[in-house]
Amino acid sequence: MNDSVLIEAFDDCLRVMEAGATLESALARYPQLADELRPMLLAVQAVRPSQPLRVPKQSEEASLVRLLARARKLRQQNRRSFALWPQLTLVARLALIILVLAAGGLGAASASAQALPGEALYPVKRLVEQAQLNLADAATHAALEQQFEQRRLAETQAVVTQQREAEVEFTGLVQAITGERWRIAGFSVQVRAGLAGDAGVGDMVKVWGRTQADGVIVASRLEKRAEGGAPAPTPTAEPSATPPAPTQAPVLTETPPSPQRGTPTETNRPTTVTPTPGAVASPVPSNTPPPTATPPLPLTPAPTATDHETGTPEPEEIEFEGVVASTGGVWVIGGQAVVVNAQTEFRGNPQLGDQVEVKAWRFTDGTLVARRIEKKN
Amino acid sequence: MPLAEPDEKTLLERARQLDERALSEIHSCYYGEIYRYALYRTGRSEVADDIASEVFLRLLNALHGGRAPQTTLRGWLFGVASNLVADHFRRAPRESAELDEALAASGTTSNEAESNLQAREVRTVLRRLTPEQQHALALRFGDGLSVEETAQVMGKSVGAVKVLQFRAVAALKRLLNVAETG
Repeated sequence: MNDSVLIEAFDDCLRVMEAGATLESALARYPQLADELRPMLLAVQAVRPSQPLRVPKQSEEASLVRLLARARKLRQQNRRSFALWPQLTLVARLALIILVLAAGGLGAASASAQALPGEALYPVKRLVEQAQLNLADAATHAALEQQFEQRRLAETQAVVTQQREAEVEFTGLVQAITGERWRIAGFSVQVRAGLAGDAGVGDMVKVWGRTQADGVIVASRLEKRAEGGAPAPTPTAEPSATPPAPTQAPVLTETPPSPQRGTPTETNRPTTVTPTPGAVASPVPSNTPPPTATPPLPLTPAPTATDHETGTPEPEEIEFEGVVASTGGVWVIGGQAVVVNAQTEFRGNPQLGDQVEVKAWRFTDGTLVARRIEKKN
Repeated sequence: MPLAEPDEKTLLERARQLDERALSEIHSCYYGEIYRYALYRTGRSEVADDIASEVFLRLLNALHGGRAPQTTLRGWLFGVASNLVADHFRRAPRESAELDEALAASGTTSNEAESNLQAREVRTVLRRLTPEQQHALALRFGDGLSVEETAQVMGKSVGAVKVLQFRAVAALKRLLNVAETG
């Protein structure tokens, strides 16, 4: 007898018995299989409770009480940890930082540079960033903020690529809205009704949310940072082989899409307006009509100060080859997240799946910013 | 009844933020199923109490730690319950031995098997199946889930669950025969 016939007959008998039929009436549906089915169904009767198992109400209530008590405890812990930092004076914060570093935090702080959201050392990374911001003067502060914005984008892309769930935050341009599904900085973000206030397409927004395994980010908070349609800033920097200086950084520039995009000459000529959506300029041409202008944005990766000005080490120029796995807000090449911006030069029109050679700046926190991406034959 | 997918996502997001109403809703929706599952597999209400309660605490910890769940919430909860049941039996080898002795001492015939097998013996027989078969039968017969629901919880196709269920019961039948002669 074919096993699949027997399996289906057995399943059918179980169904009719679950609906109230007797063993004999179930077997009567398959007289030719009755001898094989009978002991199987008897075995099921032996292990199936005659009555549905009862759930004691007091057990359920006690369990709920335990659950809610634990939730309250966690909430209190959260409040205590979140409330601590703002309450500290600057001197106390510095003392705490020194204490943490002196107590062996240096190793953790260094190791945390590569940490991604959801990883154990990620809070250390953010603490170090906060400390850097607190210690910076006004000019350096702005440059650092831009650098950190870039990090948030690269981190978010890395977590999305890993198909992992984690808390993320990033700032980017709202590119499209379809119901509750928004496209922000190249990411697919679920924004529930009422969460976004009056933010809309073309606005620069900051998003707090949680990445899902399917790549969608579920926003828990969204704040408008700048209106769409504001006058575009004029870039003060010419693209060069060195990273931009701090004062040149906060400019969103992008090569306008054209069939010739990707040629070295064109990509070396950034324009003043961002014609395609996306907080991080993407080299993929878009049919979406561009916003008329773009607000100043913290887009250019920013380790932009010299050593003597900020103490921030200069980035290192590296080269590597890999296959393009993603071309969203941040490209993923050979498993590495690479920030692409207006100064990135594209050669040979690299696309998804292409083997490419990358020349990039590697910043001290591991962020990679592409200087050139060249398709290999 | 399991939560609809959009409701589940919203609830989980709120639960992650330690929203008590969301946690209560999840607990109310799934506690009964998890308790019955644990009771079916262990046969002891106090153990089922502990396991069911622990499943939801683990969910809370996982949500708070940014780790769970990667699949459906229902499947995740049953998966944790299954692990806790396995932990329970690992920690309680003495009880296991006693149950094995009880099974060996039983002298049922095949015709009397359905009526004579005591609950403890049944569980001992069940524990001789593979973990996956035990999981499937507990969902099907302990919780009364349909084949389709079992497939969803286990992340398998309906056809795969039918085959798994058939093989589990076939093994069960053989084990009962072994018990008769042993």
